[in-house]
Amino acid sequence: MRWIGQAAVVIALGALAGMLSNSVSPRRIPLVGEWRKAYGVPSPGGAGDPTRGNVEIGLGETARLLGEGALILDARTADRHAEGHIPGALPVPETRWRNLPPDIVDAAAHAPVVIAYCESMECDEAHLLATALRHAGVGGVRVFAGGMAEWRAEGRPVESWR
Amino acid sequence: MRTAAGRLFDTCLRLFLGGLFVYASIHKIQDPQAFARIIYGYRILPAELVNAAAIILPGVELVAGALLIAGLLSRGATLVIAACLAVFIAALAFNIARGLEFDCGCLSFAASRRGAAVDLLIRDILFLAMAARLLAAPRLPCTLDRLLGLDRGRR
Repeated sequence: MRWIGQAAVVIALGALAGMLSNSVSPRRIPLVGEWRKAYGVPSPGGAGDPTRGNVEIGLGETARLLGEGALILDARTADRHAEGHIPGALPVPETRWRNLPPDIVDAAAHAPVVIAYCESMECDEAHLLATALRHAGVGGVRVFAGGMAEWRAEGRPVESWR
Repeated sequence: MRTAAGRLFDTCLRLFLGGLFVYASIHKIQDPQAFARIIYGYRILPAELVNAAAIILPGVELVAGALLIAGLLSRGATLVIAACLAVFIAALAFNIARGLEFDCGCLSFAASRRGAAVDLLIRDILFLAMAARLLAAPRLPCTLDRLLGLDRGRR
């Protein structure tokens, strides 16, 4: 009994410490996250959320914009890209969006519209890439939220290097 | 009568387990965003509780670990640590069993992959055994509890 009472005190102090540290964190999160969305990448919400500030679009809109000459960027790893990607997509894996090469920024700046995507609704790489481009001066990058998984599931053409 | 070696062993266990929990809490406290995403990835908690768990759990780990190192409320802290480990073990085992691809995010955000999850499961079971040993010890030496008369071996 004594030990359980002590444990309750430890948990209460811990919960308090957790709430305090979260409230002063630059990457703090709200008590309830945005994990259940009708469509879009689920996220914890809050400060520094990578999904903030980017426009998410669906498969129909992605296909339409591609028809209008949109530039499409694949934010997944080089391996995943080689296995299969949306036709015409440029590979921009993490190593590159962490330090965007000038040719990518240039291509994005001159495209009518830019779309980024990653593996599925569960990944945030496309959002991180869109955010990196925004910081490099290219705003308005769309994120195809369903990513490669939705593209494949809908039977759209896939380009592969293997 | 317990030997000096036994008492030293228990003290080492106490400091190790406390230090481990403090260490494991730090990167989670530094990045609540990333930790929340990991909890979400486990697909166990309902969506409404994911963020609350990501806020509270690291604080509980930190406080329990720090108290165990200090030897203050050490039985309660050990009980909390054992409960955390039991929850981690159950969550890891459940996800390994159902073949879910997930980032266990146990000690750092870097380690993921399936083999890593099994390694962590084994490690957590070992840590739970250490906590059980601390709970079973009749007295914990060199603690603030002893100084303050908080640990008289009664449950």
